[in-house]
Amino acid sequence: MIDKIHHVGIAVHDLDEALKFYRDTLGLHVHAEDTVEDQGVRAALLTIGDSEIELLEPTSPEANMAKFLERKGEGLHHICFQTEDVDGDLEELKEKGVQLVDQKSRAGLAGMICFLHPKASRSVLVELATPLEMYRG
Amino acid sequence: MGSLNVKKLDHVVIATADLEDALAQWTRNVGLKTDASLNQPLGAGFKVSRLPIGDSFLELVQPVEEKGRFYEQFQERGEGLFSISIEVEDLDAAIEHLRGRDIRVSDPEPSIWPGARVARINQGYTHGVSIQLIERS
Repeated sequence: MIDKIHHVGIAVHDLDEALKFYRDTLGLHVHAEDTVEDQGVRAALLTIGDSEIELLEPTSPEANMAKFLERKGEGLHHICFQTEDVDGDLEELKEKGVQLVDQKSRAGLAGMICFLHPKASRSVLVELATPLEMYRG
Repeated sequence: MGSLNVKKLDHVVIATADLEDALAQWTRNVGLKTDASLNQPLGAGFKVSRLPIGDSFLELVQPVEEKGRFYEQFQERGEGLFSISIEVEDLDAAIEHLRGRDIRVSDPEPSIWPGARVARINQGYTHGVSIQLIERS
């Protein structure tokens, strides 16, 4: 079902500050930058080999990302795996009774995405993504 | 001083209090399987399982001795995403590059992987992410 690590998500207080390290110091190329209003984040995706690093800054104090930062501080937030068929995978996961955050795929920075509940993988937040150019929904 | 010459995301470390249960959940719910050919021991203080994905792998680690850096951080942070390992072309050049920018990096040391060497970037510079650099021969 999954092909590779699409990205690792990192929660940060200030995206521009974080870019100074990940883009300028590590030399990673920023290939997408966007604000996803319904998720309350401003995000940048940086290429690292065949995968990416996603930096996430909350856009408001009410955003989930802001609450995560308050609770745990900056750091690793989630891991996203690329799949050819996020909708098919979701159906399979529902049949198996796996705990989910999203019952249906939705548009995200990585394509059509969904999140599993951290209880499904011992406290790791897992995202599945089908990039739009692969998506057949 | 050049750049860091990052090759790829080598692996992602996940800390767990129960390796058998974590492995069962990752296999059942996410579809990843452990690969015995990646079975480099981490040392006496750990139980470890590696799950290949694309050109990278996840490393599930359970500390079994109540001492050491990993155990102390695990006590503080609990289960979940723990660190990322980034493969670089030339570890000595990478360390020189980072130190030239006033970033604290540990001295290189041999890795558990035959022929490989590693160094850790001080977490004060990485926005809360524990980052290991690895050079594979």
